[in-house]
Amino acid sequence: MPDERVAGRLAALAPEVPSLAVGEDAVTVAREDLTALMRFLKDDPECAFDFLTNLTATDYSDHFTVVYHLVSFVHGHLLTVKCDLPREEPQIPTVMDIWGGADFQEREVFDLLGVVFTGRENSRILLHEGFKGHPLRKDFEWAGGRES
Amino acid sequence: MDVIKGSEKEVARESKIKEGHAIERLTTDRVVVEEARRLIHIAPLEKVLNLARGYSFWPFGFGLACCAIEGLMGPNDPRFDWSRFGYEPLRNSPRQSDVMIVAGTVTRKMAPFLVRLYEQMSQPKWVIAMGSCAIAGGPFVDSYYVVPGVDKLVPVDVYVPGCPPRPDALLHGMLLLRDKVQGRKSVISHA
Repeated sequence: MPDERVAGRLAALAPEVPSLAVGEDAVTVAREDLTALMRFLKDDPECAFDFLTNLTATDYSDHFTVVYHLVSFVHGHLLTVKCDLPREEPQIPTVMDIWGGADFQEREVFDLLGVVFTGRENSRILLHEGFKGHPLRKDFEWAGGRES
Repeated sequence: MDVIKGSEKEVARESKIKEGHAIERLTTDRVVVEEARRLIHIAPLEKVLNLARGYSFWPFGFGLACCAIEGLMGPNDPRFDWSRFGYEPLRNSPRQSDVMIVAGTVTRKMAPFLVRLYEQMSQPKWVIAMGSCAIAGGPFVDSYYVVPGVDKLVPVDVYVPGCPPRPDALLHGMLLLRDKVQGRKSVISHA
């Protein structure tokens, strides 16, 4: 469960962000409301999540889930935010303008899973630009380097 | 260690050369001949240079994975201390080194840089492939982004197997390379 103060603020925010759902271990939100929620979590003095420790994503075969781990150095609390994306159209707004540190992590998620972050330039970071496909997708197929 | 240094034929040829030392054409004085044989060796300049090269490699540390700890940091420390053999200056510039120690997994993105750095090394130059990954891709050979052995990119002189090899193993590899550079026959067979 989120910190009590955070839970209280999220409950107050709920009418403005209809897709917001506060779960046991994470807060889920639709991608349309992601930017509004994230901006609120950063700017609200009770929440004050001033640092994005981790940004990653998972391929569940029928959809992608992008996961944000936030921490507040001011209050010392943590929060996990999750956002589901349809597999056919894996697009999500960038949070780079809120936390600059999201830059490389969004590029990594784009590189390995093919999730497109709108509102920023998407380029590979670990693999070379000519690489075909996104290797952490469940349906990725490759030929290994072993010589038979 | 079953290291075979020089066949019998070679030993015989060398002693023959020693028998016919050039000083004997000038004098037959036994004392002079003995002293000249002891002190003056006649050999191609390249052989002398190779003697120096073999005793003072300047390794270029290409640390890519855990092998860098065992192969580049370990031999540097006082316990293993490769400066005993003259291999002390671990360079970070390819232009100042003559042995590239590839210690770790080479990915496809790293491959062009590895080749470029090898090309930037001045001649003569040698390569040691350290550990399973550098030799043949190691446990990652079937993954989508690992080069199956650094010998696909550059010529390799010595393979040091292990995962990772101990610093002693790398030192053994360096000594084998020394023998190779100095022109002694050096073959290891585990058959």
